[in-house]
Amino acid sequence: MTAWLAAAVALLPALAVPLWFATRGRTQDRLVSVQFATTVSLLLMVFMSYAFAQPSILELPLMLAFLSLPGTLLLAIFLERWL
Amino acid sequence: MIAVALLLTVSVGSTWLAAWGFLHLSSVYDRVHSVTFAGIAAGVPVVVAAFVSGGGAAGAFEVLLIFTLNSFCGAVLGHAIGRAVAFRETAGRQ
Repeated sequence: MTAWLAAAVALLPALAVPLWFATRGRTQDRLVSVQFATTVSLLLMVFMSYAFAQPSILELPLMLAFLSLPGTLLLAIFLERWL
Repeated sequence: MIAVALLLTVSVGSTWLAAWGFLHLSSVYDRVHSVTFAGIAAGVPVVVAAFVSGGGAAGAFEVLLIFTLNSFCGAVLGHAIGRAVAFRETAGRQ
């Protein structure tokens, strides 16, 4: 097991925290959970890309980083006005 | 590749610390800061580890771009979420 793969496996408990909040927390906690899960997922995908020596996997976290801004901003507007 | 293993340990440890903070901090405003901490404190060691393990390969620059974007977006989104929560509290919604 390489260091990258070990790091990817070690990140999984940290991903469980926002998932728990997303199912149990208040509405505003759920939005912050989405942001935290995005950050942990970015790390996880970068680790997996290096662990499996597949540079093409890096396109996924790049797109996630690009799309998280408009997506979460839209959710924040919904939270502010209607939810 | 001891240096890479050490950098990844720092990154995973920072993420665990942020998760612990996320779990134990009381308000949404505090939790937003633990998210930003995870983005910065876990992202920087990963970028350095990518450059150490891959040299100047394109993948390392892609990792740099990913975490630069994430840091910028994390700051913007943290403030947007804080603003939305403040508006909700002013309106009396939970």
